Amino acid sequence: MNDKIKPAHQVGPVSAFFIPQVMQIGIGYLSFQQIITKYSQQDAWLASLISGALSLGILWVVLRLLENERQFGMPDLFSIHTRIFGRRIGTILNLFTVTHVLLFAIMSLRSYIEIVHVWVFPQMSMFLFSLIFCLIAWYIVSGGMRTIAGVCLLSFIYLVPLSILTLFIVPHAQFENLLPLVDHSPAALLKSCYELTHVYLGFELLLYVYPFISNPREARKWAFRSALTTVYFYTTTLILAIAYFSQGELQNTIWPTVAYWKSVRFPLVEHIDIIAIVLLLWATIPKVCLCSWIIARAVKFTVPKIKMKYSLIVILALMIAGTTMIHSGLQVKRLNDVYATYGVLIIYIYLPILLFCQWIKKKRGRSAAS
Amino acid sequence: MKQKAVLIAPLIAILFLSGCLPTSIIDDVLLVEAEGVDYLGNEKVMGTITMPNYVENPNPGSAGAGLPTTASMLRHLSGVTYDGKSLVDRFQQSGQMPIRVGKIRLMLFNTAMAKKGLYKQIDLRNRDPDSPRDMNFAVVEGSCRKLLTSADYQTQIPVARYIQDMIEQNTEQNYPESTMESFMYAYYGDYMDPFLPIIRKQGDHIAMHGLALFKNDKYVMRLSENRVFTFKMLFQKFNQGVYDYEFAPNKHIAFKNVHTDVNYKVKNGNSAAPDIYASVNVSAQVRQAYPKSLSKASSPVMEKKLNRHMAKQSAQLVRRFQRKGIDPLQLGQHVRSYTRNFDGKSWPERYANARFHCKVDVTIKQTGISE
Amino acid sequence: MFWKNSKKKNDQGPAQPSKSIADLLVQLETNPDFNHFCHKSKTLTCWISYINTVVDLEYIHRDLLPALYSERVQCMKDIAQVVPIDKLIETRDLSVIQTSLLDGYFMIQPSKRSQHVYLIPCPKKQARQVADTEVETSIVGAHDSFVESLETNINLVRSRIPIPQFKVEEQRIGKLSRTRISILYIEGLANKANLNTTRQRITDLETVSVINANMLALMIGDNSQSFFPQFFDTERPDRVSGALYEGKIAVLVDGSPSALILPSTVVEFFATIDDYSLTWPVASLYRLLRLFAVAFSVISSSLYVAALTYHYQLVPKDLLATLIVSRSSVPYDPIIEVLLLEVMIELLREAGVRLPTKVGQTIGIVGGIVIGTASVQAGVTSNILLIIIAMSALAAFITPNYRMATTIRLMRFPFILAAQMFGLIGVGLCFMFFVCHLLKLTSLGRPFIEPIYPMRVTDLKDSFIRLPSNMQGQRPLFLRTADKNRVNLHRTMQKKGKAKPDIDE
Repeated sequence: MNDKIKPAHQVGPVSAFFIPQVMQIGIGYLSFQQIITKYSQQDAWLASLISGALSLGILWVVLRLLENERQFGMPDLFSIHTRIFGRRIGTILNLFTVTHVLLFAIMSLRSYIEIVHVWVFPQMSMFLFSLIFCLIAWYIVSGGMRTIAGVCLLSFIYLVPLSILTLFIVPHAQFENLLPLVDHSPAALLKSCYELTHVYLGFELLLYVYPFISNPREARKWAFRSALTTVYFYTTTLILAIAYFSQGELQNTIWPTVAYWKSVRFPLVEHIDIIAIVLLLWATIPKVCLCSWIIARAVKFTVPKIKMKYSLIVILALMIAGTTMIHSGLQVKRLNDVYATYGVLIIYIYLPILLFCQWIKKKRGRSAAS
Repeated sequence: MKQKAVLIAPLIAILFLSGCLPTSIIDDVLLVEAEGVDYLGNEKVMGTITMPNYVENPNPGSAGAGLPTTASMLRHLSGVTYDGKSLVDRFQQSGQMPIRVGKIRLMLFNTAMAKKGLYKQIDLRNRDPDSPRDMNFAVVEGSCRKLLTSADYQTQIPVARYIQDMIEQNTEQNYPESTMESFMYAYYGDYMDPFLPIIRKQGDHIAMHGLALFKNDKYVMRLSENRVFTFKMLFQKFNQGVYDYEFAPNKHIAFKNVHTDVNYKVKNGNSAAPDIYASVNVSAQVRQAYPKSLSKASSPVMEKKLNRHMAKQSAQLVRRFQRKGIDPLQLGQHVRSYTRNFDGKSWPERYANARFHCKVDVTIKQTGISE
Repeated sequence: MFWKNSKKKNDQGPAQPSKSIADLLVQLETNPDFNHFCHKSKTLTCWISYINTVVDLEYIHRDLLPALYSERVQCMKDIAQVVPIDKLIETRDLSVIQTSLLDGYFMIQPSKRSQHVYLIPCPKKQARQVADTEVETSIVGAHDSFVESLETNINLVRSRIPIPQFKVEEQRIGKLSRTRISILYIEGLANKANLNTTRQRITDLETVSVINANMLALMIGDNSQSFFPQFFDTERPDRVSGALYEGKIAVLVDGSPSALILPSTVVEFFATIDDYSLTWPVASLYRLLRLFAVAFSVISSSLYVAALTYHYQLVPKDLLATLIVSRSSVPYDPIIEVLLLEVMIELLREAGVRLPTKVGQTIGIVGGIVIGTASVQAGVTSNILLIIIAMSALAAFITPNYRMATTIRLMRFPFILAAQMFGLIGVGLCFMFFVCHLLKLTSLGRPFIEPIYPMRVTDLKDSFIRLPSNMQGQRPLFLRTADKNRVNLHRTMQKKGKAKPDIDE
């Protein structure tokens, strides 16, 4: 693999805003309120802010890792692994992180299908849908990083109406529900924070995309703005959920955001929830695309002989297989838990350790040189 | 090129051969508009569903060719089943076309059903992704089945739409909001109890008949029509309600509220007897008054009278609720909001002892165009 | 087998220049309109040849021949001085001789077999008068449109760009047709890379003939598999000159009354020249209306299919009765009903276009009203659908560019099929596919949906909306023009900086 990405394949620094943003907001956006408020009821928004801040911190770690790596070659996680731990261990570590990426893609696709099954077509063929979906993903990924970034941007644009839709329930909201402010123990808040951490996952994919973003200085700023916007989105949605539902009802509603949408009524259409779910296609496609692109790159990084365009087909086939193998909603939930714990372990624990290793390596390198 | 064809051909074949999803073509399904549940005792209910029938108003365009319209012919179905059974599934065997529930407007329960408890019915509705959140629930005095299936109404429009329109326009005036959305809020919420409007058939029409107040899922108390304004005034801010006040025997004054808002304050929320302060502001426009009873000069006097009267009535209302142990005004929720470390477990006992202080401030803005 | 043979034939075919001047003359002499004769005067003997159908005979008889026959011409070299002409080509190059003769040149040879010839241009151009625009009409804008003659067309553009930097490059393409093609641009504005790409694509073209500009557009387009036209074609000289001032490149083809504008973005296809004549809020609203019309036209019928087949929940309660009643006498599924009407509208449109104008209009009205009403009355389609389809047909015609309009009209068919298969999800998937396709599409290597992706906020000022001209100080970024600014931004800033007087001052 060549060490430099051609400028013709690079994307602008604003992509550092759209890509992590779109990765973070997904199907979890529909259901996170229920889990979060279980522990800290009306103060859950505080937990959202705290874990948002935490995600900003991890974002800093991610960017630090990448920037430190720039002088040694390609600033992405694969190179970091192989440089610090050597070829063999590095490959194993890459395998671990890439498994997480694969899981991420399968989870987002499968959760989307789950939503469609519950709300629109209980009989929809999972195989057929994921086949068509992955074909479109293949079409996009074969256009390269630029097209994927474009899809991320469009996805962001198409998801803006959805967040506007949630504002329609403001007249029905009882903001008194938010009182009394800060009435929970730190332990309860921390529990909520933990549940939220995996909702905020997704921005770490910057670890793989970063070399493709031109003007890293600007890009870093955009990345932080993106994380802040996500915090804003999640926190406002959470506040609305707390104000709109009574606590008991919230605990009883699996997809509170869809319930908002169901309450919105326009003169021309009713049941906006169905339209919103269709729009959520746009929340899913960038994830599948970017993840399959990352995995294809990982394959090429490990075995440079395999061309990305061929491995991509295998990866997408794997995704289809993985998606169709999950049969019930319960399995989705279980796998989601696995994915979330895995993600939290990698992102919140492993990455800081990696930064530390990188620092040690640097120290050692310097002392060896002198 | 050849390779692509090899790829694409089986794909298209799969697409077309895999078969379509089960359809519900709009004129080939029976769209349920209202469901009614009458309790028969012993966990058995009499369920009724109504579907709109469009044969009566033929399409002027297609009538030109003299074709019979094929819109749904069934108008209503009823039958006995157990409590909590999905009526759509129950009646599918007698439907000439698939029955769909996605456009349901109305869910009715008779008083026996409501008294027995609605938790199975509500779970059924809440579980169904198709049920619109703006559908209306109501308690029927008498039989839902009769109400839904009578053919002697003055109006030709389907009865479900008739009832929903009636409830909706009343909600804009004296009655508090009672859609599925607000019902679920209060039903599942802690420290609050739901309520529903009561309707009944009066000869050849249907009328609102007060509010049914629930304790959890059971109907325990009826609020008569003349108290509904006071209730709504304490419950939410609204306008366009009409209140009728008999200030002396056979002397009435009625006003339409231009705007009403209510504010709650709570003191000693965790004590054995919390103090709840409600302050209500009413801007009123007098619609009707006993001749010579009201003038620009005398309206402050009338305002004072009204203040005292309405405060007293509010306090009475809350006392009745406390005695029954129900909280449709969501006072518990207010107390919870204004109390740190709110003790929710002991709240039901403390609620009965809570002291409710109400201050009403009526401002008469208009007295009409004549003195 | 067949192809191989024909290829071989082509190689030896008429495209090859003749081996010698004698061969050429022999080849041409069989044509009745070829004149080849010996002129003998006291002073000069020469052979004259020309093709009388492509030369200006009047000019030859009135000016050329008398001058040539006069006694002042002593030898071949005198011709240049005596004959009243601006250009005399003296050549030995056989291919030049051949093309010139065929283009209407007057050839003079000292002897019958001499390859050293003199060529005098006197072509006769049969061209239509510059007429009103027909495809892209404008209400307040200019009314002249391109014609089939390259010279006239260049004249129309040049008269709007009277500056020396305006360049016209000529090339000939088509193995057989050798069609003249002009590349128009303003030097110092047009991006060099764009220009080189254009030149290269045109020279590299392997084709037998180029009949018109749109054909060329398809051949040099970035993605030949795509549904969408990638270069804007226009018959309006004012539009071309506007584009040139922006830093774009125009391509004119001899014999074709339309010009190509390269590179183009998708929003350009929905802009009209009238947008620049109206005040900016009005123009912006009309642009948004056009975009809405396009969206409506593409997805309205598929939404009808999806909603009526699968998602009855979406239909508002009060509309439900109307829909059901109008559908109740229709025996088919919504998809059949929609396809029936859509195909009918397409038939009507095609019939209206192919028939002579006067009959065409009648057909449109008769078809629209009679068939529409009759099909509703017969209970084959529903009223509501008729309204939707008619509106979406109307909406498709709003698109100013004909090629884009056809694309948009046909694009709805995949949507309808997808709606039948997966309901709204299918519409969503189909939409996603088309959007991603647009995303991948390039025009001359520049992204096709440019102001959206890559996001260029400055270019959004003249895309979905059109902001006032004082905010349009910069040329479109995606063109990467050599001169970014339209106006001297420094000076405008200075002018703006003047303190504005208070009220009543």
